[in-house]
Amino acid sequence: MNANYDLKQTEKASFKLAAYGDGTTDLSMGLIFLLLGLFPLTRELLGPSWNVLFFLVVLSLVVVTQGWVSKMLGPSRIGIVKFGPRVKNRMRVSLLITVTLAIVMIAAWVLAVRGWFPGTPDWLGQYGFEILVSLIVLLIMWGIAYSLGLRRYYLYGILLAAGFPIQAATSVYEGLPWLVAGGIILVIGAFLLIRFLKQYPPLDEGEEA
Amino acid sequence: MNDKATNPLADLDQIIHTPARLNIMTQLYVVESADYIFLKNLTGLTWGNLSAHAAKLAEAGYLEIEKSIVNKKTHTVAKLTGEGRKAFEAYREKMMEVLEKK
Repeated sequence: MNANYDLKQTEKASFKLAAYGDGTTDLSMGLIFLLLGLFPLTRELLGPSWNVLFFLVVLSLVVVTQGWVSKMLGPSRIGIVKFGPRVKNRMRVSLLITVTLAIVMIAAWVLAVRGWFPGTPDWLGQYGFEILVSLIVLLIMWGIAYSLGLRRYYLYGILLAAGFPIQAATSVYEGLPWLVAGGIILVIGAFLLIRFLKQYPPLDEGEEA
Repeated sequence: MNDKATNPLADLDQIIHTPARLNIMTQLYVVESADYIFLKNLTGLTWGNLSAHAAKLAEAGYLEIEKSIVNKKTHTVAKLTGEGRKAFEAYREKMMEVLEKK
């Protein structure tokens, strides 16, 4: 029996199991980053406009499929839980912070394209956007890792944040950092899904596992 | 003699003061509601224990239990009542007070 009666830990454990326990979030994140890694290649094949359309269609498919799979697996294996206003508020704040950071990223991109402020050092003018985006990605992923106790997100943060400067500073295939990061996240997601399927067999009420 | 002065645990809520029921109350305190499958996974109780202890808590007015039929199977959702939340908070406070007393 679980003897841990620390309420915050209990709340975190419930949320972690309900939202991240099945590994499908990791799988879809891995797929999205693999897709990003293939983006330069598909751009060559399809041209810029069709490539963006292709990217958006596949992205939507990944997100919808993840939602569907998660819904198919969750209720019969781990059950259904509704979280209270405290968790909902925390999620709203997280969403607000993510949207704000996304706006900052867009603003930085516009500034990078138009040229930074006069007097900006050369290195900052050249790599300023990549550095900023890296820091923001790291902040988001580490924020999730810390607030939910999801240690693997520290690794995801490093993998994803490293992609931008590596892409900018080296002459390797520009999608390679994303392919590597996506591949690693995908493998972790697959491992989590298999572990989840073994650990939580489908249950009917009253029926022992 | 077994009064509050000699035994500070004497006035603890005995409905909650059982590991299984305390576990159920704790899990439900941090969420709005949860079904029996979720509670079973998190508490590690058997179906029989979960059902019996939840019924006891419902009898005391601490739990609201809603049964429905989904795909020809019983689906039970439990949530703490206002009284249940207050009782849990009082129990927690009392327990901390007792444990922190030197």
